Amino acid sequence: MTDLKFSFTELMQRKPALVSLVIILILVLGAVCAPLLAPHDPEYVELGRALLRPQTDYPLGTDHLGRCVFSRLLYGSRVSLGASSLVMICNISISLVIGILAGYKGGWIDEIFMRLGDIFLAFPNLVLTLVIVGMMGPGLQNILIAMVIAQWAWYARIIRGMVLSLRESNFVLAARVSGVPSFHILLHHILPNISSQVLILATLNVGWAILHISGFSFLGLGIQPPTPEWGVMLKDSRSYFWSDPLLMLFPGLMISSAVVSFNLLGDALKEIAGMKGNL
Amino acid sequence: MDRNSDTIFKIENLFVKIPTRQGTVHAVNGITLSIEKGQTLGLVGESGCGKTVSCLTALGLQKKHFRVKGKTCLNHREIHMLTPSEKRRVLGKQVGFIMQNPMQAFNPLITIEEHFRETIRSHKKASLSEVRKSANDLLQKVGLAGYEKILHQYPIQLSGGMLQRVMIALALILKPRLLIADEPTTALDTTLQSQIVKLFKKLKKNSDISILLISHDVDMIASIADKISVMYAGYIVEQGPTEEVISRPLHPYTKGLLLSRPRFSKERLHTIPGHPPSLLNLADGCPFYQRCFSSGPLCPSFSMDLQHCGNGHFVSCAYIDKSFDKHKVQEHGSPRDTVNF
Repeated sequence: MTDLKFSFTELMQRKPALVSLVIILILVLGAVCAPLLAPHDPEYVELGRALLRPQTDYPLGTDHLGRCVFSRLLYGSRVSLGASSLVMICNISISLVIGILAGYKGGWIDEIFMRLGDIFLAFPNLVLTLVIVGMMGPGLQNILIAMVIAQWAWYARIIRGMVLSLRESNFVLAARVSGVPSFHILLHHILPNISSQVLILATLNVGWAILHISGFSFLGLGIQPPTPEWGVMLKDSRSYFWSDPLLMLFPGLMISSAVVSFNLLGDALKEIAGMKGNL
Repeated sequence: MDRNSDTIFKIENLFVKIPTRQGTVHAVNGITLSIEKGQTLGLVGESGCGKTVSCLTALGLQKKHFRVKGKTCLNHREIHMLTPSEKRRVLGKQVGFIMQNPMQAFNPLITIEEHFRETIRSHKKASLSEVRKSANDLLQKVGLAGYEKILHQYPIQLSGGMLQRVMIALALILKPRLLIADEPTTALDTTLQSQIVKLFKKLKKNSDISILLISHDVDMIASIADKISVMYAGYIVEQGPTEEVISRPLHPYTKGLLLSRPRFSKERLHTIPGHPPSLLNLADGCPFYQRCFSSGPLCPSFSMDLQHCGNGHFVSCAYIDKSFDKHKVQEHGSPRDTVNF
C-alpha cells in the first residue's frame, strides 16, 4: 500500500486521464494568458452591441450588456481556477498539519481536533458554508474562508486515518527504536508515504471547489457582478435562456468540463495508486 | 538477584496489561531479567508469550494504552524516568534493536543509505562520506557482497536475508553497548539462519557487546547464549546458565520444549498437549497447569515465584522434579552436539 509511485506513462495510457489532463492544461494556459488571448476588455459595457451571435469580432458573441463572452470566459477561468486552487491548497495544508499531528501524536491532541472535526462534519457542507457566508457577508474572500472551514475536517480525518495505519508500521517503530526524532519521522517516513494519496485528494478537491465557487456565485453569494466568473455569467444569462440559449451554454460547458476533468484525473490517479473505496 | 556493577540492562518485575474490549490481556506478568557486560541472554518462548512486548515496553516504546508496571535500568539509569528527548538519545546510541520482520522494517520510499544517514545523524553530526564509510565497513562485516551498490538500493530490491543483515548493521552502526535481537532468524531460510548465527557468534567474540536474543528456536539460542530465560504466558518459568537449563531442565514446559525439537531420528516428535492459554483475563496460578504432565493440587494457586535450585538455576514450579528425564535428554545428545551452525 505504501510504495506508490505514480508513473507518468501509466497515466498517459488511460484515455480519460489523458483527455482531462489536456483540458486542464488548456484551461490553465487560457487563464494564464488571458490578457494576451482576450479580444476585448471583459468588463467593457457597450449596450449597442448587446446579445450578438458568435461572429469573427466576438468569437462567442456578447452578453446582455454587450460584453465579449469569450473574453469574460477567459478572465473567468482565472478567478475560478485560481480561487479553487487556493481553496485546495488551504484545505490540504490545514488538514495535513492537523491530520498528521492528530494521527501521530494521538492522545488529547487527537481528541480535541477530531471532536472539533465532528462538530463541523455534523452539518451538511452546503448549509455550513451558507451560514458562514451569511454571517460574514458575500464576497470571494468570505466564500473561500467558508469553504475551508466547512471542508478541513473531512480531509483531516482521511489523512489522520492514513497516518494512524502508518504509525503502527514496522518501519516507523524501527526508526523510533533507533532514536530518530519525531519530527524527522513525520517528515521523512510519514509524509512521503501519504503524499500520493494526498495528491489524489487534492485533485478531487479542486473539482469540488470549482463547482462550489461557481454555485455560490450563481446564488449571488460569491463573486460580485462586474468581475467575470463562470457562475456569475451563468446567473446573468439565466433571464435570456429562451432568446439566447448559447449565452448560458458556454459558462456551463466550462464549469462542467473543468470539474469533470479534475474528477477524472483524480479517479485515474486513484486507480493507478490501487486505492479502494470512495474518497 | 546479585547487584553486579557490570549489569548493562535490567528489567525488574515488569508487568504489562493491555486493556481490550473483551477484557484485560495479561501480556507480561512480572518478569525479571538482567544482562551483564559481554553477556548474551537468550529469551525463549512460543509466539505470543510476551517476548517482544516485554522488550519494547522495557525500552519505553509500548503503545499508549498499555498499562505498565516495573522498572528497567540501562547502565544504571531507569528508562522510564528519562525525558522523551533523553530516551531518544539513548535508543539507537546505547541500545541497538533488531526488529522481527526485516521486510517491513524499512521505509519503502528511501534508500538503504538514507536509513543509515537517518540513524547516524539522529545522534551525531556526520558528513555524507563519513556515513558512507562507516556503513560500508559494517555492511562488509555482516557479509554483504557488493555492499557499495546496496547503499543506493531501495529496501524492495533486497532479499529478506540481505535486509536482515542490513538491519543488524543499522543496529550496530552507533556501537551500542546492548543489542536486542528480536527473532533475528525467524524470517530467514536455514542457510541464512546459520549465517546470522555465525555473525552473532563473531560479534560476541570480537566485542564486549551484550546481547538480548529473543527467539522461539531453542537450538539457536542454546548455541549462542550464556544464559537462558524460558518464557511462558508472560511469566519467566525457568532461568539459568545455558548448559544448566539445557542439560537439566526443571520446569515441565522447558522439558517439553526441549523434547519437541526436531531431531534426525525416526521417532515421532514429542508434542506438548493442549494449547497455550489465552492471556485474556489470565487466572492466578501456573498458566501451564492444564498442559502439564506433573501437575498437582498446588498448581492452580501457585504464585509463580522463581526458586533457586543451585548453580544459578531458577525455576517457578510447585513440584520441582529434579530427577526427571536426565537420561532422556542425554539420549538425544545435548543441543551443542547435534546442532552445527
